[in-house]
Amino acid sequence: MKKEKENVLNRIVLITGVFFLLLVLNLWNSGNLGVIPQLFKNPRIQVFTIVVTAILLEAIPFILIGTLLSGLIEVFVSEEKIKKVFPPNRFLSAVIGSFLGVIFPVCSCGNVIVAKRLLKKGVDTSGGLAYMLASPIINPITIFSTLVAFSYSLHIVMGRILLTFISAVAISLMLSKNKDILKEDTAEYCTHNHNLSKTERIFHHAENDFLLMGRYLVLGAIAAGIFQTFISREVFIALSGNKVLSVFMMQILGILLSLCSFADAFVASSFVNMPSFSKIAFMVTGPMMNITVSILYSGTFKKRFVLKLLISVFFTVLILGVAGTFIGRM
Amino acid sequence: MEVFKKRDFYQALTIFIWILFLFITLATGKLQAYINKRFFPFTILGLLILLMLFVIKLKRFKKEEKENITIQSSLSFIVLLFPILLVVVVRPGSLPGLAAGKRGISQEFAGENVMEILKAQIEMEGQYKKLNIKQILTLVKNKPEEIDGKPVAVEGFVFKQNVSEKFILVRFLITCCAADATPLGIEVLYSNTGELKQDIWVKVYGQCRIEEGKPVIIAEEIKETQQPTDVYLY
Repeated sequence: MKKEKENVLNRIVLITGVFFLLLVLNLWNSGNLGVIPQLFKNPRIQVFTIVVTAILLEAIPFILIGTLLSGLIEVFVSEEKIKKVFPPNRFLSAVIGSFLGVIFPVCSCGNVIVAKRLLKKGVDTSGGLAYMLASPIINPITIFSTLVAFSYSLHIVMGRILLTFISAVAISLMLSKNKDILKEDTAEYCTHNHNLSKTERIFHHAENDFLLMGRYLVLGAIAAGIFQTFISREVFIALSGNKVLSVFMMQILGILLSLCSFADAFVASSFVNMPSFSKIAFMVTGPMMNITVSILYSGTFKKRFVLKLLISVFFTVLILGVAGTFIGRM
Repeated sequence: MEVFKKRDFYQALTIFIWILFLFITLATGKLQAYINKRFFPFTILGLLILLMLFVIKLKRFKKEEKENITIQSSLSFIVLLFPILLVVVVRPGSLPGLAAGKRGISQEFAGENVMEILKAQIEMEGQYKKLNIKQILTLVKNKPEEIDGKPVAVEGFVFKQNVSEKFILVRFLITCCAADATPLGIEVLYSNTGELKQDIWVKVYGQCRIEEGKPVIIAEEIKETQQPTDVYLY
Protein backbone atom coordinates (compact mmCIF):
# COMPACT_ATOMS: atom_id res chain seq x y z
CA MET A 1 0.00 0.00 0.00
CA LYS A 2 2.67 2.42 1.07
CA LYS A 3 4.65 1.82 -2.06
CA GLU A 4 1.67 2.61 -4.27
CA LYS A 5 1.11 5.86 -2.46
CA GLU A 6 4.70 6.82 -3.02
CA ASN A 7 4.45 6.03 -6.70
CA VAL A 8 1.48 8.34 -7.06
CA LEU A 9 3.32 11.00 -5.15
CA ASN A 10 6.36 10.62 -7.36
CA ARG A 11 4.26 11.09 -10.43
CA ILE A 12 2.67 14.21 -8.99
CA VAL A 13 6.06 15.64 -8.19
CA LEU A 14 7.34 14.76 -11.64
CA ILE A 15 4.41 16.44 -13.34
CA THR A 16 4.81 19.60 -11.24
CA GLY A 17 8.49 19.62 -12.15
CA VAL A 18 7.84 19.40 -15.86
CA PHE A 19 5.10 21.99 -15.54
CA PHE A 20 7.53 24.37 -13.89
CA LEU A 21 10.11 23.81 -16.57
CA LEU A 22 7.61 24.61 -19.29
CA LEU A 23 6.44 27.72 -17.52
CA VAL A 24 9.96 28.99 -17.01
CA LEU A 25 10.80 28.33 -20.63
CA ASN A 26 7.72 30.31 -21.48
CA LEU A 27 9.43 33.39 -20.06
CA TRP A 28 11.57 33.39 -23.19
CA ASN A 29 8.77 34.38 -25.50
CA SER A 30 7.41 36.83 -22.97
CA GLY A 31 3.98 38.14 -23.70
CA ASN A 32 1.47 35.43 -24.28
CA LEU A 33 0.69 32.90 -21.65
CA GLY A 34 -2.80 32.49 -22.99
CA VAL A 35 -5.46 34.43 -21.15
CA ILE A 36 -3.98 36.05 -18.09
CA PRO A 37 -6.77 36.60 -15.66
CA GLN A 38 -7.40 40.21 -14.75
CA LEU A 39 -6.83 39.11 -11.17
CA PHE A 40 -3.08 39.15 -11.64
CA LYS A 41 -3.12 42.76 -12.75
CA ASN A 42 -4.46 43.71 -9.34
CA PRO A 43 -1.91 46.11 -7.81
CA ARG A 44 -1.86 44.17 -4.51
CA ILE A 45 -0.85 40.97 -6.23
CA GLN A 46 1.70 42.91 -8.24
CA VAL A 47 3.25 44.46 -5.13
CA PHE A 48 3.27 41.10 -3.36
CA THR A 49 4.97 39.34 -6.26
CA ILE A 50 7.53 42.09 -6.73
CA VAL A 51 8.45 42.27 -3.04
CA VAL A 52 8.74 38.50 -2.59
CA THR A 53 10.81 38.09 -5.74
CA ALA A 54 12.97 41.10 -4.95
CA ILE A 55 13.83 39.83 -1.46
CA LEU A 56 14.74 36.44 -2.91
CA LEU A 57 16.78 37.76 -5.81
CA GLU A 58 18.59 40.03 -3.41
CA ALA A 59 19.23 37.43 -0.73
CA ILE A 60 19.95 34.29 -2.73
CA PRO A 61 23.45 35.34 -3.87
CA PHE A 62 24.30 36.14 -0.26
CA ILE A 63 22.84 32.86 0.96
CA LEU A 64 25.00 31.12 -1.63
CA ILE A 65 28.10 33.03 -0.58
CA GLY A 66 27.26 32.11 3.02
CA THR A 67 26.84 28.43 2.16
CA LEU A 68 30.12 28.39 0.27
CA LEU A 69 31.92 30.10 3.15
CA SER A 70 30.34 27.63 5.52
CA GLY A 71 31.48 24.74 3.30
CA LEU A 72 35.01 26.16 3.22
CA ILE A 73 35.08 26.46 7.00
CA GLU A 74 33.80 22.91 7.35
CA VAL A 75 36.45 21.45 5.09
CA PHE A 76 39.49 23.63 5.63
CA VAL A 77 39.32 25.09 9.12
CA SER A 78 40.06 22.61 11.87
CA GLU A 79 38.41 22.74 15.26
CA GLU A 80 41.71 23.60 16.92
CA LYS A 81 42.19 26.63 14.69
CA ILE A 82 38.72 27.91 15.44
CA LYS A 83 39.24 27.46 19.14
CA LYS A 84 42.35 29.59 18.87
CA VAL A 85 40.32 32.46 17.42
CA PHE A 86 37.60 32.14 20.04
CA PRO A 87 39.03 32.18 23.56
CA PRO A 88 37.40 29.91 26.17
CA ASN A 89 36.24 32.92 28.17
CA ARG A 90 32.60 33.44 27.26
CA PHE A 91 32.71 37.21 27.45
CA LEU A 92 35.80 37.54 25.25
CA SER A 93 34.37 34.98 22.88
CA ALA A 94 31.21 37.09 22.52
CA VAL A 95 33.25 40.27 21.98
CA ILE A 96 35.29 38.62 19.24
CA GLY A 97 32.16 37.14 17.70
CA SER A 98 30.54 40.59 17.47
CA PHE A 99 33.43 42.00 15.47
CA LEU A 100 33.99 39.01 13.19
CA GLY A 101 31.64 40.58 10.66
CA VAL A 102 34.35 43.11 9.85
CA ILE A 103 36.29 40.26 8.21
CA PHE A 104 33.33 38.17 7.00
CA PRO A 105 30.75 40.68 5.77
CA VAL A 106 27.89 38.32 5.02
CA CYS A 107 24.40 39.79 5.35
CA SER A 108 21.84 38.58 7.86
CA CYS A 109 20.56 35.80 5.61
CA GLY A 110 23.92 34.29 4.74
CA ASN A 111 25.45 34.51 8.15
CA VAL A 112 22.94 32.30 9.94
CA ILE A 113 24.47 29.48 7.92
CA VAL A 114 28.02 30.55 8.79
CA ALA A 115 27.08 30.85 12.49
CA LYS A 116 25.60 27.37 12.42
CA ARG A 117 28.83 26.02 10.99
CA LEU A 118 30.89 27.82 13.65
CA LEU A 119 28.70 26.34 16.40
CA LYS A 120 29.02 22.89 14.87
CA LYS A 121 32.78 23.33 14.85
CA GLY A 122 32.72 23.76 18.59
CA VAL A 123 32.73 27.53 18.99
CA ASP A 124 31.18 28.51 22.33
CA THR A 125 27.48 29.40 22.08
CA SER A 126 28.27 32.97 23.14
CA GLY A 127 30.79 33.53 20.30
CA GLY A 128 28.60 31.96 17.62
CA LEU A 129 25.50 33.87 18.70
CA ALA A 130 27.32 37.19 18.98
CA TYR A 131 28.64 36.70 15.46
CA MET A 132 25.20 35.83 14.17
CA LEU A 133 23.52 38.83 15.77
CA ALA A 134 26.15 41.52 15.26
CA SER A 135 27.85 40.75 11.96
CA PRO A 136 25.01 41.94 9.68
CA ILE A 137 25.38 45.37 11.29
CA ILE A 138 28.99 45.67 12.42
CA ASN A 139 30.55 45.26 9.00
CA PRO A 140 32.03 47.77 6.55
CA ILE A 141 29.16 47.69 4.04
CA THR A 142 26.38 48.33 6.54
CA ILE A 143 28.36 50.99 8.38
CA PHE A 144 29.06 52.81 5.13
CA SER A 145 25.45 52.67 3.95
CA THR A 146 24.29 53.97 7.33
CA LEU A 147 26.74 56.87 7.06
CA VAL A 148 25.46 57.76 3.60
CA ALA A 149 21.79 57.37 4.49
CA PHE A 150 22.08 59.71 7.46
CA SER A 151 24.21 62.31 5.64
CA TYR A 152 27.37 61.32 7.53
CA SER A 153 25.81 61.85 10.94
CA LEU A 154 28.33 60.15 13.21
CA HIS A 155 26.14 59.89 16.27
CA ILE A 156 23.58 57.76 14.44
CA VAL A 157 26.28 55.43 13.17
CA MET A 158 28.02 55.21 16.55
CA GLY A 159 24.64 54.70 18.22
CA ARG A 160 23.86 51.85 15.87
CA ILE A 161 27.21 50.15 16.37
CA LEU A 162 27.13 50.58 20.14
CA LEU A 163 23.56 49.40 20.56
CA THR A 164 24.31 46.38 18.37
CA PHE A 165 27.50 45.54 20.21
CA ILE A 166 26.04 45.86 23.69
CA SER A 167 22.89 43.92 22.86
CA ALA A 168 24.74 41.19 20.95
CA VAL A 169 27.19 40.63 23.81
CA ALA A 170 24.47 40.80 26.47
CA ILE A 171 22.13 38.43 24.63
CA SER A 172 24.83 35.91 23.82
CA LEU A 173 26.00 35.86 27.45
CA MET A 174 22.42 35.45 28.67
CA LEU A 175 21.83 32.55 26.31
CA SER A 176 25.27 30.96 26.40
CA LYS A 177 24.24 28.42 29.04
CA ASN A 178 22.05 26.73 26.45
CA LYS A 179 23.93 23.91 24.83
CA ASP A 180 22.65 21.56 22.18
CA ILE A 181 20.66 24.31 20.50
CA LEU A 182 21.01 23.21 16.89
CA LYS A 183 18.24 21.36 15.14
CA GLU A 184 19.08 17.83 14.13
CA ASP A 185 20.18 17.97 10.54
CA THR A 186 18.90 15.10 8.48
CA ALA A 187 20.27 16.52 5.27
CA GLU A 188 23.85 15.92 6.35
CA TYR A 189 23.53 12.21 5.80
CA CYS A 190 26.86 11.72 4.14
CA THR A 191 28.98 14.39 5.75
CA HIS A 192 31.61 11.84 6.48
CA ASN A 193 31.68 10.29 3.10
CA HIS A 194 35.39 10.49 2.52
CA ASN A 195 35.25 9.21 -1.04
CA LEU A 196 34.52 12.76 -2.06
CA SER A 197 37.29 15.17 -2.95
CA LYS A 198 37.70 18.36 -0.94
CA THR A 199 36.02 20.53 -3.58
CA GLU A 200 33.17 18.08 -3.84
CA ARG A 201 32.73 18.14 -0.10
CA ILE A 202 32.61 21.95 -0.02
CA PHE A 203 29.94 21.99 -2.69
CA HIS A 204 28.08 19.14 -1.12
CA HIS A 205 27.77 21.08 2.13
CA ALA A 206 26.91 24.24 0.25
CA GLU A 207 24.15 22.46 -1.65
CA ASN A 208 22.62 20.97 1.50
CA ASP A 209 22.65 24.36 3.17
CA PHE A 210 21.16 26.05 0.13
CA LEU A 211 18.30 23.61 -0.28
CA LEU A 212 17.58 23.66 3.44
CA MET A 213 17.80 27.41 4.05
CA GLY A 214 16.36 28.29 0.65
CA ARG A 215 12.92 27.08 1.61
CA TYR A 216 12.95 29.02 4.88
CA LEU A 217 14.05 32.09 2.95
CA VAL A 218 11.11 31.67 0.56
CA LEU A 219 8.67 31.37 3.47
CA GLY A 220 10.22 34.44 5.10
CA ALA A 221 9.99 36.45 1.91
CA ILE A 222 6.34 35.49 1.50
CA ALA A 223 5.56 36.65 5.05
CA ALA A 224 7.38 39.94 4.49
CA GLY A 225 5.60 40.35 1.15
CA ILE A 226 2.19 39.94 2.77
CA PHE A 227 3.02 42.58 5.34
CA GLN A 228 4.47 45.04 2.83
CA THR A 229 1.42 44.67 0.62
CA PHE A 230 -1.34 45.05 3.15
CA ILE A 231 -0.14 47.22 5.98
CA SER A 232 0.58 50.90 5.82
CA ARG A 233 3.75 52.27 7.40
CA GLU A 234 2.01 55.52 8.23
CA VAL A 235 -0.12 53.69 10.77
CA PHE A 236 3.01 52.82 12.72
CA ILE A 237 4.23 56.37 12.80
CA ALA A 238 0.85 57.66 13.89
CA LEU A 239 0.77 55.14 16.74
CA SER A 240 4.17 56.03 18.11
CA GLY A 241 3.25 58.91 20.39
CA ASN A 242 5.93 58.94 23.08
CA LYS A 243 9.56 57.91 23.41
CA VAL A 244 8.96 54.40 24.71
CA LEU A 245 6.22 53.70 22.18
CA SER A 246 8.25 55.11 19.31
CA VAL A 247 11.10 52.67 20.01
CA PHE A 248 8.65 49.80 20.39
CA MET A 249 6.75 50.55 17.18
CA MET A 250 9.88 51.03 15.13
CA GLN A 251 11.16 47.69 16.39
CA ILE A 252 7.95 46.00 15.26
CA LEU A 253 8.25 47.74 11.91
CA GLY A 254 11.85 46.56 11.54
CA ILE A 255 10.74 43.00 12.19
CA LEU A 256 7.84 43.11 9.75
CA LEU A 257 9.57 44.87 6.85
CA SER A 258 12.44 42.32 6.63
CA LEU A 259 14.90 44.58 4.87
CA CYS A 260 18.49 43.69 4.16
CA SER A 261 20.84 45.29 6.69
CA PHE A 262 22.74 46.82 3.79
CA ALA A 263 19.65 48.87 2.92
CA ASP A 264 17.56 49.42 6.01
CA ALA A 265 19.33 52.66 6.93
CA PHE A 266 17.86 54.36 3.87
CA VAL A 267 14.38 53.38 4.90
CA ALA A 268 15.05 54.39 8.51
CA SER A 269 16.27 57.81 7.42
CA SER A 270 13.02 58.41 5.57
CA PHE A 271 11.15 58.51 8.90
CA VAL A 272 12.08 62.13 9.31
CA ASN A 273 10.03 62.93 12.39
CA MET A 274 10.86 59.93 14.54
CA PRO A 275 13.34 60.23 17.46
CA SER A 276 16.86 59.11 16.53
CA PHE A 277 16.99 56.23 18.96
CA SER A 278 13.79 54.73 17.61
CA LYS A 279 15.42 54.70 14.17
CA ILE A 280 18.51 53.07 15.65
CA ALA A 281 16.32 50.46 17.36
CA PHE A 282 14.70 49.83 13.96
CA MET A 283 18.12 49.28 12.40
CA VAL A 284 19.27 46.97 15.20
CA THR A 285 16.12 44.88 15.70
CA GLY A 286 15.52 44.37 11.96
CA PRO A 287 18.72 42.53 11.04
CA MET A 288 18.69 40.57 14.31
CA MET A 289 15.14 39.23 14.18
CA ASN A 290 13.09 40.25 11.15
CA ILE A 291 10.57 37.77 9.76
CA THR A 292 12.92 36.32 7.17
CA VAL A 293 15.80 35.91 9.62
CA SER A 294 13.52 34.47 12.32
CA ILE A 295 12.28 31.83 9.93
CA LEU A 296 15.90 31.06 9.04
CA TYR A 297 16.59 30.71 12.79
CA SER A 298 13.74 28.26 13.10
CA GLY A 299 15.36 26.18 10.35
CA THR A 300 18.63 26.17 12.28
CA PHE A 301 17.85 26.04 15.99
CA LYS A 302 15.48 24.11 18.19
CA LYS A 303 12.09 25.76 18.69
CA ARG A 304 12.50 26.57 22.36
CA PHE A 305 15.80 28.24 21.73
CA VAL A 306 14.46 30.32 18.83
CA LEU A 307 11.73 31.58 21.11
CA LYS A 308 14.21 32.49 23.85
CA LEU A 309 16.47 34.18 21.32
CA LEU A 310 13.71 36.30 19.77
CA ILE A 311 12.34 37.37 23.15
CA SER A 312 15.76 38.33 24.49
CA VAL A 313 16.67 40.28 21.35
CA PHE A 314 13.41 42.20 21.37
CA PHE A 315 13.48 43.19 25.04
CA THR A 316 17.21 43.90 25.23
CA VAL A 317 17.02 46.29 22.30
CA LEU A 318 13.82 47.82 23.65
CA ILE A 319 15.32 48.49 27.09
CA LEU A 320 18.61 49.81 25.70
CA GLY A 321 16.82 51.83 23.04
CA VAL A 322 14.47 53.48 25.51
CA ALA A 323 17.39 54.16 27.86
CA GLY A 324 19.17 55.71 24.89
CA THR A 325 16.33 58.09 24.11
CA PHE A 326 16.44 59.42 27.66
CA ILE A 327 20.22 59.62 27.99
CA GLY A 328 20.94 60.85 24.50
CA ARG A 329 18.06 63.36 24.41
CA MET A 330 17.94 62.75 20.69
CA MET B 1 12.34 5.24 -14.75
CA GLU B 2 14.14 4.77 -11.45
CA VAL B 3 15.68 8.22 -11.56
CA PHE B 4 12.35 9.98 -11.05
CA LYS B 5 12.08 8.45 -7.61
CA LYS B 6 15.37 9.83 -6.41
CA ARG B 7 15.68 12.84 -4.19
CA ASP B 8 18.92 13.75 -5.93
CA PHE B 9 17.08 14.16 -9.19
CA TYR B 10 14.68 16.71 -7.74
CA GLN B 11 17.46 18.54 -5.98
CA ALA B 12 19.28 18.86 -9.28
CA LEU B 13 16.08 19.91 -11.03
CA THR B 14 15.35 22.59 -8.44
CA ILE B 15 18.83 24.02 -8.75
CA PHE B 16 18.55 23.91 -12.53
CA ILE B 17 15.24 25.79 -12.57
CA TRP B 18 16.69 28.48 -10.32
CA ILE B 19 19.70 28.77 -12.64
CA LEU B 20 17.34 29.22 -15.58
CA PHE B 21 15.28 31.77 -13.70
CA LEU B 22 18.28 33.86 -12.61
CA PHE B 23 19.75 33.66 -16.10
CA ILE B 24 16.53 34.70 -17.82
CA THR B 25 15.81 37.62 -15.50
CA LEU B 26 19.39 38.79 -15.91
CA ALA B 27 19.54 38.33 -19.68
CA THR B 28 16.19 39.97 -20.40
CA GLY B 29 16.90 42.94 -18.13
CA LYS B 30 13.92 42.06 -15.94
CA LEU B 31 16.20 41.92 -12.92
CA GLN B 32 16.24 45.69 -12.64
CA ALA B 33 12.55 45.66 -11.81
CA TYR B 34 13.53 43.94 -8.57
CA ILE B 35 17.00 44.94 -7.43
CA ASN B 36 19.48 47.78 -7.73
CA LYS B 37 21.89 47.41 -10.63
CA ARG B 38 24.78 47.69 -8.19
CA PHE B 39 23.89 44.20 -6.99
CA PHE B 40 23.99 42.58 -10.42
CA PRO B 41 27.57 41.34 -9.91
CA PHE B 42 26.32 39.45 -6.84
CA THR B 43 23.55 37.90 -8.89
CA ILE B 44 26.13 36.79 -11.45
CA LEU B 45 28.28 35.39 -8.66
CA GLY B 46 25.23 33.58 -7.25
CA LEU B 47 24.47 32.20 -10.68
CA LEU B 48 28.03 30.90 -11.00
CA ILE B 49 27.90 29.26 -7.56
CA LEU B 50 24.60 27.59 -8.48
CA LEU B 51 26.10 26.39 -11.76
CA MET B 52 29.00 24.86 -9.89
CA LEU B 53 26.62 23.22 -7.43
CA PHE B 54 24.71 21.83 -10.37
CA VAL B 55 27.75 20.52 -12.24
CA ILE B 56 29.17 18.86 -9.15
CA LYS B 57 25.76 17.44 -8.36
CA LEU B 58 25.62 15.80 -11.79
CA LYS B 59 29.16 14.47 -11.46
CA ARG B 60 28.32 12.88 -8.16
CA PHE B 61 25.03 11.54 -9.37
CA LYS B 62 26.19 7.99 -10.00
CA LYS B 63 28.65 7.71 -7.15
CA GLU B 64 26.17 7.98 -4.36
CA GLU B 65 23.64 5.81 -2.79
CA LYS B 66 20.46 7.59 -3.71
CA GLU B 67 17.61 8.28 -1.38
CA ASN B 68 14.03 8.10 -2.56
CA ILE B 69 11.91 11.19 -2.44
CA THR B 70 9.57 11.58 0.51
CA ILE B 71 6.49 13.72 1.04
CA GLN B 72 8.48 16.14 3.16
CA SER B 73 11.24 16.65 0.63
CA SER B 74 8.80 17.06 -2.27
CA LEU B 75 7.05 19.77 -0.29
CA SER B 76 10.31 21.60 0.15
CA PHE B 77 10.95 21.56 -3.60
CA ILE B 78 7.51 23.01 -4.18
CA VAL B 79 8.24 25.80 -1.67
CA LEU B 80 11.57 26.53 -3.35
CA LEU B 81 9.94 26.77 -6.75
CA PHE B 82 6.80 28.64 -5.71
CA PRO B 83 8.25 32.15 -6.25
CA ILE B 84 9.25 31.27 -9.80
CA LEU B 85 5.75 30.06 -10.56
CA LEU B 86 4.37 33.25 -9.02
CA VAL B 87 6.51 35.44 -11.28
CA VAL B 88 5.68 33.44 -14.39
CA VAL B 89 1.96 33.59 -13.72
CA VAL B 90 1.66 37.16 -12.42
CA ARG B 91 4.25 38.71 -14.79
CA PRO B 92 4.79 41.73 -12.56
CA GLY B 93 5.56 45.12 -14.03
CA SER B 94 6.93 47.77 -11.69
CA LEU B 95 5.73 48.85 -8.26
CA PRO B 96 2.38 50.61 -8.59
CA GLY B 97 1.22 53.76 -6.80
CA LEU B 98 -0.53 51.63 -4.20
CA ALA B 99 2.89 50.82 -2.74
CA ALA B 100 3.74 54.52 -2.56
CA GLY B 101 0.67 55.15 -0.44
CA LYS B 102 1.41 52.24 1.90
CA ARG B 103 5.00 53.28 2.37
CA GLY B 104 4.41 56.99 2.82
CA ILE B 105 5.94 59.38 0.28
CA SER B 106 9.08 61.25 1.37
CA GLN B 107 9.30 64.82 0.22
CA GLU B 108 12.73 65.24 1.77
CA PHE B 109 15.95 63.47 0.89
CA ALA B 110 19.54 64.11 1.86
CA GLY B 111 21.67 61.11 1.07
CA GLU B 112 23.15 62.25 -2.21
CA ASN B 113 26.32 64.07 -3.13
CA VAL B 114 25.12 67.52 -4.06
CA MET B 115 28.37 68.58 -5.76
CA GLU B 116 27.99 65.75 -8.28
CA ILE B 117 24.64 67.11 -9.34
CA LEU B 118 25.99 70.63 -9.69
CA LYS B 119 29.00 69.51 -11.69
CA ALA B 120 27.09 67.13 -13.93
CA GLN B 121 26.16 68.23 -17.41
CA ILE B 122 22.45 68.73 -17.13
CA GLU B 123 20.39 68.43 -20.27
CA MET B 124 18.04 71.26 -21.10
CA GLU B 125 14.64 71.10 -22.72
CA GLY B 126 14.15 74.63 -23.94
CA GLN B 127 14.40 76.74 -20.82
CA TYR B 128 13.72 73.75 -18.52
CA LYS B 129 16.46 71.87 -16.69
CA LYS B 130 15.98 68.10 -16.90
CA LEU B 131 16.35 66.84 -13.33
CA ASN B 132 15.03 63.78 -11.58
CA ILE B 133 13.11 63.85 -8.31
CA LYS B 134 16.08 62.69 -6.26
CA GLN B 135 18.29 65.46 -7.67
CA ILE B 136 15.71 68.11 -6.93
CA LEU B 137 15.14 66.93 -3.36
CA THR B 138 18.89 66.81 -2.75
CA LEU B 139 19.33 70.35 -4.07
CA VAL B 140 16.45 71.61 -1.94
CA LYS B 141 18.07 70.15 1.16
CA ASN B 142 21.67 71.16 0.49
CA LYS B 143 21.77 74.06 -2.00
CA PRO B 144 18.26 75.54 -2.08
CA GLU B 145 19.47 78.67 -3.91
CA GLU B 146 20.40 76.51 -6.92
CA ILE B 147 16.85 75.30 -7.43
CA ASP B 148 14.46 77.88 -5.96
CA GLY B 149 12.57 79.61 -8.74
CA LYS B 150 14.22 77.62 -11.54
CA PRO B 151 12.28 76.08 -14.44
CA VAL B 152 12.55 72.30 -14.39
CA ALA B 153 11.38 69.27 -16.37
CA VAL B 154 10.73 66.18 -14.22
CA GLU B 155 9.41 62.71 -14.89
CA GLY B 156 7.39 60.51 -12.55
CA PHE B 157 4.01 58.95 -12.00
CA VAL B 158 0.89 60.64 -10.71
CA PHE B 159 -0.23 60.08 -7.14
CA LYS B 160 -3.49 61.88 -6.32
CA GLN B 161 -5.15 62.32 -2.96
CA ASN B 162 -8.67 63.67 -3.50
CA VAL B 163 -7.46 67.21 -4.10
CA SER B 164 -8.33 68.73 -7.44
CA GLU B 165 -5.65 71.42 -7.64
CA LYS B 166 -2.54 69.40 -6.94
CA PHE B 167 -0.95 65.95 -7.02
CA ILE B 168 2.33 64.34 -6.01
CA LEU B 169 4.81 63.33 -8.69
CA VAL B 170 6.48 60.13 -7.49
CA ARG B 171 9.49 57.93 -8.32
CA PHE B 172 10.69 54.97 -6.28
CA LEU B 173 14.26 55.05 -5.01
CA ILE B 174 15.85 51.63 -4.59
CA THR B 175 18.86 50.97 -2.40
CA CYS B 176 19.06 47.19 -2.55
CA CYS B 177 15.79 45.75 -3.74
CA ALA B 178 12.14 46.58 -4.30
CA ALA B 179 11.37 45.68 -0.68
CA ASP B 180 13.24 48.78 0.44
CA ALA B 181 11.92 51.03 -2.35
CA THR B 182 11.24 54.46 -0.91
CA PRO B 183 8.79 56.64 -2.78
CA LEU B 184 10.22 60.12 -3.32
CA GLY B 185 7.72 62.77 -4.25
CA ILE B 186 7.31 66.41 -5.19
CA GLU B 187 4.08 68.32 -4.93
CA VAL B 188 2.83 69.66 -8.24
CA LEU B 189 0.27 72.47 -8.48
CA TYR B 190 -1.83 71.91 -11.59
CA SER B 191 -5.32 73.19 -12.16
CA ASN B 192 -6.39 70.28 -14.37
CA THR B 193 -5.32 67.58 -11.93
CA GLY B 194 -8.80 66.09 -12.18
CA GLU B 195 -8.13 65.07 -15.77
CA LEU B 196 -5.00 63.09 -14.88
CA LYS B 197 -5.38 59.42 -14.14
CA GLN B 198 -3.84 57.86 -11.05
CA ASP B 199 -0.53 56.06 -11.72
CA ILE B 200 0.10 57.35 -15.26
CA TRP B 201 3.61 58.48 -16.17
CA VAL B 202 3.96 62.18 -16.95
CA LYS B 203 6.57 64.79 -17.58
CA VAL B 204 6.00 68.00 -15.68
CA TYR B 205 7.36 71.32 -16.96
CA GLY B 206 7.23 74.20 -14.53
CA GLN B 207 8.83 76.42 -11.97
CA CYS B 208 10.26 74.87 -8.82
CA ARG B 209 9.67 76.82 -5.61
CA ILE B 210 10.62 75.99 -2.08
CA GLU B 211 7.87 76.27 0.49
CA GLU B 212 8.58 75.33 4.11
CA GLY B 213 11.68 73.41 3.08
CA LYS B 214 9.82 71.35 0.50
CA PRO B 215 9.79 71.81 -3.26
CA VAL B 216 6.59 72.62 -5.09
CA ILE B 217 6.37 72.71 -8.85
CA ILE B 218 3.97 75.15 -10.41
CA ALA B 219 3.17 73.24 -13.56
CA GLU B 220 3.03 75.10 -16.86
CA GLU B 221 2.67 72.02 -19.00
CA ILE B 222 2.13 68.33 -18.37
CA LYS B 223 2.75 65.66 -21.00
CA GLU B 224 1.84 62.02 -20.71
CA THR B 225 4.89 59.82 -21.34
CA GLN B 226 5.85 56.19 -21.53
CA GLN B 227 7.19 54.52 -18.43
CA PRO B 228 10.99 55.00 -18.64
CA THR B 229 13.26 51.99 -19.12
CA ASP B 230 14.92 52.71 -15.78
CA VAL B 231 11.70 52.63 -13.80
CA TYR B 232 13.38 53.24 -10.47
CA LEU B 233 15.95 55.72 -9.27
CA TYR B 234 19.05 54.23 -7.71
